[in-house]
Amino acid sequence: MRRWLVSEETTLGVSNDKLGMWVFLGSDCLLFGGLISTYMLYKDRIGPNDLGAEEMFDIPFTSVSSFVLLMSSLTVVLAITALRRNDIRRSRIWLLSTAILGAIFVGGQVYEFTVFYREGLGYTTNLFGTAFFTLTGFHGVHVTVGIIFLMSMYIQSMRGKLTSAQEERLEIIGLYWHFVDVVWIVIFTIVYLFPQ
Amino acid sequence: MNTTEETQIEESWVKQDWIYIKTALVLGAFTAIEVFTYFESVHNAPEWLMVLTLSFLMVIKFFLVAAIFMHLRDDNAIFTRMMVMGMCIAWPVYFIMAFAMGFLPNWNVIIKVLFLFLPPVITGSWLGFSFKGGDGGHH
Amino acid sequence: MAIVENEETPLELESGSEEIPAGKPLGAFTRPQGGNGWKDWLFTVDHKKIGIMYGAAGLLFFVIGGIYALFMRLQLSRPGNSILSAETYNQVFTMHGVVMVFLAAIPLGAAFANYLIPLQIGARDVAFPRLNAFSFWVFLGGGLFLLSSMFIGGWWENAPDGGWFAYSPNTGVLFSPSKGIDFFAIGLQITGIASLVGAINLIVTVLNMRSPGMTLMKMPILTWMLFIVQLLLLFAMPVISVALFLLTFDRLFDANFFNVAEGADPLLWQHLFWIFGHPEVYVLILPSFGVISEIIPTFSRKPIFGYPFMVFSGIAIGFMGWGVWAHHMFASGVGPVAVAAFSISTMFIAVPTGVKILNWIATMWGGRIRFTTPMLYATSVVAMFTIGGLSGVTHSLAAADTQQTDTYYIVAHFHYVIFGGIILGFFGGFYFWWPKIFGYFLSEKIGKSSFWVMVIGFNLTFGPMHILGLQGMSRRIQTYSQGQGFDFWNMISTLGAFMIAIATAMFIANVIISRRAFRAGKTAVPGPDPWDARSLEWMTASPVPEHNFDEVIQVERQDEFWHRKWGRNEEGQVVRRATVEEVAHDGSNTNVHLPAPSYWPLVAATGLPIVGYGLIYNLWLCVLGGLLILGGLYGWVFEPVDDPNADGHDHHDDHNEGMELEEGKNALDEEVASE
Repeated sequence: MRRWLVSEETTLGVSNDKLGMWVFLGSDCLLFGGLISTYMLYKDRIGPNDLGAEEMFDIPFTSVSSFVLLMSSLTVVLAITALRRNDIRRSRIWLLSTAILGAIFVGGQVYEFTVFYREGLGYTTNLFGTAFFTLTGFHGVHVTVGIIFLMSMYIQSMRGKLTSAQEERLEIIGLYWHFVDVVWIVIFTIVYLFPQ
Repeated sequence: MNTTEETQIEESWVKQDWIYIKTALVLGAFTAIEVFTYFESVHNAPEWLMVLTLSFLMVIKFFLVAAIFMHLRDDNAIFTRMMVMGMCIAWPVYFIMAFAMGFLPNWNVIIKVLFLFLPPVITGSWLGFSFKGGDGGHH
Repeated sequence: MAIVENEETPLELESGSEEIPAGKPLGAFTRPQGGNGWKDWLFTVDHKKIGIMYGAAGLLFFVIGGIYALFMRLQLSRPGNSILSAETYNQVFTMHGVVMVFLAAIPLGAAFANYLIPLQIGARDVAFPRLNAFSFWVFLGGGLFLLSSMFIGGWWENAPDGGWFAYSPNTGVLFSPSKGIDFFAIGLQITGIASLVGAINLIVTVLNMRSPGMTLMKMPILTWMLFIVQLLLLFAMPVISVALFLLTFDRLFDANFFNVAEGADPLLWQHLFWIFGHPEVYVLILPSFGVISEIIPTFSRKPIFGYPFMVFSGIAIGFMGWGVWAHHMFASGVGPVAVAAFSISTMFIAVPTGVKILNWIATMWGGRIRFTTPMLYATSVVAMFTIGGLSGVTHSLAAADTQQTDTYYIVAHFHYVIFGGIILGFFGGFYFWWPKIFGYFLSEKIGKSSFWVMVIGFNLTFGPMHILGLQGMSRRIQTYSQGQGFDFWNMISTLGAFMIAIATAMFIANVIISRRAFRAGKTAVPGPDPWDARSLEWMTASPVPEHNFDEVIQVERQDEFWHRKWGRNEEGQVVRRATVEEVAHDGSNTNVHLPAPSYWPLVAATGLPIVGYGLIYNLWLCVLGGLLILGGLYGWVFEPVDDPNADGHDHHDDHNEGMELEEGKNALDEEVASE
């Protein structure tokens, strides 16, 4: 007689939770695809004297925050591998670093938005502003949710509840985090770097 | 001794995780190149070349994060296929919508059709069928 | 605070245990065993209870949507009628569409999916039981939120009035100043979350929780069709989500996404809506196709004809469904290239459906057919959907469609495919699976008569609309003038609509009467397999025990249950191998560990409509709703694990302790006597 479906004995041999996160990420592609398309269609529908992408973007600043987000992907992977090795202390450090880097990214976004606003580009000023803030806003919310996940894990670790048994949960949070980073790679290139 | 053990752990984690650190360095380098092209664009480079280079770099970065950081290369193929399904639906659908709404009117229709279907078909088939990974297969 | 386990109220529900009180029956959806108190239903994570609740809610909303339709038909029965003013009529037809599509058809599909998928793949529950409960409560909250628009701020003052498709810029604040469109946008976002989350759940379930030996190509057709539906939902819901966000931001924050004066393109809404909308209609029909693909083989005593073709045509429909959306926009000015391309792709998509129709007919051909009520419904689907599909093909010719669009000809088409395809199929499914779910038969006499009333009424309602449309009667108008020649067929159509209402009432009466007759001992006990059916859900007791199956089932081939009962002797004749009693599980295994009930999904789900009301009326409500959601989610994630084997995750769901793999029950090993 054989026991079945205990822990990892699933049909495909992968955990339900991890598969569930990948399935969700597949659908999130469609969400960001829609927002990016809306931005691409609307970014030039502004008057000749209106504030548009050329005038507003500060590429050096945004490149730094892009780099920060990219590095946060590295730190979260390191947190996971450390946890796998039962190196709880190091895992916590990387976990906190990821959250901090993410927060720096979001802080950079907020700063960027306030600068735009002060220079005259609000949410409803013109279609470029609306589409831009909506797209980057959705991404920023995704990053913030990710930071909440990471900080929750960090707080758990402070209560001594972070063990190598939690590795899969951390991996799943990591997957979400990488996806958010990947979306930013696409947004940064298409929105900021493509010639206007 | 404590310090020796710690040093040993420290050496080995850098070695074990070297693949991730290496990938991060490569990603950083690509980002630097991308940003450099931005400044280059101020110096009269043709637009199509800019877009092509930037898109190429973007795709490579995307691929590196997905394959290495997200372990798609090492994991069960089903994960890759879910991601690929999402991308292969999103790309043609949203570009068809954009073209129908007047995006990039100067492109030849044939180029548009190829642009709609070739990238998803090529990357989709390659990723979908090449990443077999560990824990793979049906029982 | 999480549920705390103590001796009096154990968290795990030991199946067959006498400690669980029989509870008060809850009206029509009673089950004779297992916990039945209102708390059991409110906090359940059992896919079967959730499926029943989806079905009950779907039926209720179907009746509500039908009442809207009756009012519309009353208004249109005579020229120059004034039962409904133009403003009210707009709200009524909008609500009819929204309620029927989002609150009736989708949940009824979800009912079948939730109840049957785990059973058909031999699993004990879905992959994420609490998430499943969350989906249902979110859906219910969103549905009630939408319906509340009828009462809030006055009777029929604030219901959405832009049609179920809500075209912009009509739905902006300028042209739709009432709060109706806000209810529409936010309500559909909420129900959209339910669908998306449910899709994730079922996809993981089908991929990862199949019985040993059940490869994808051995799954029943219903499970395949429902699986494709979940994939369609997974990728289509985010698109309408984007559209609804843009609309909501326009209305609440002055965003100008659809404000032409600021440079926006109103077609953006149409594209996004229909990119969702077309896969959505395949989401609506494929479950019904799956249902009849189970009924027809059972009552023809033949396996489904061309199983691989049925599977691949379903996949083709799902895939090609993404490439036809602009056929809803032929008259919108998208330009000749787009019109031609989508015209061609729409013609192509008729092909896989045609394959299915032929396969169903071929299944019946040469079979020993029993025309029970479910079989009547299933065959009527084949016929009615063919009619609807043919009118659909006429729409694919863009030149012809330019005349047909916005007329009653289109209304006729989609009602033939929706009512004739989906609703008739679902009623067939009700009759088919009712004995399995509830443990008693629905009366065949009432069933058959209500079938005829329904089918005749349906054809009387929507058949004439073909004529009206081609004669030029416009849709979405609240009246028409006397001399236009529309009077006669409109009256017939209204009479037909009332016949449909009578048939629906007959169904409800059937439920009540049949249950009473069964409890009085006047009708037969169905047992596990009343129809001599083919798939795994019939291999366990009726009603299905809480833990589904007593043992893990080793699957060797398609229609596994059938082949355990029947085999072929040396002369190739079909002979009985084993009786149902020998093969079916009787529910007596009391050792199966089940996922524990939880109230966190309900708590979190309650927050969403509150956020919705907050966005429309008072932002402080958003804070309250947000706290409920956040608190609910945290409580959920940190709910104490009661499983001693767990590795730190809340993996109630992954464990099938107590269920051993069956030994030697494989009938293939037995000798079969010839006769």
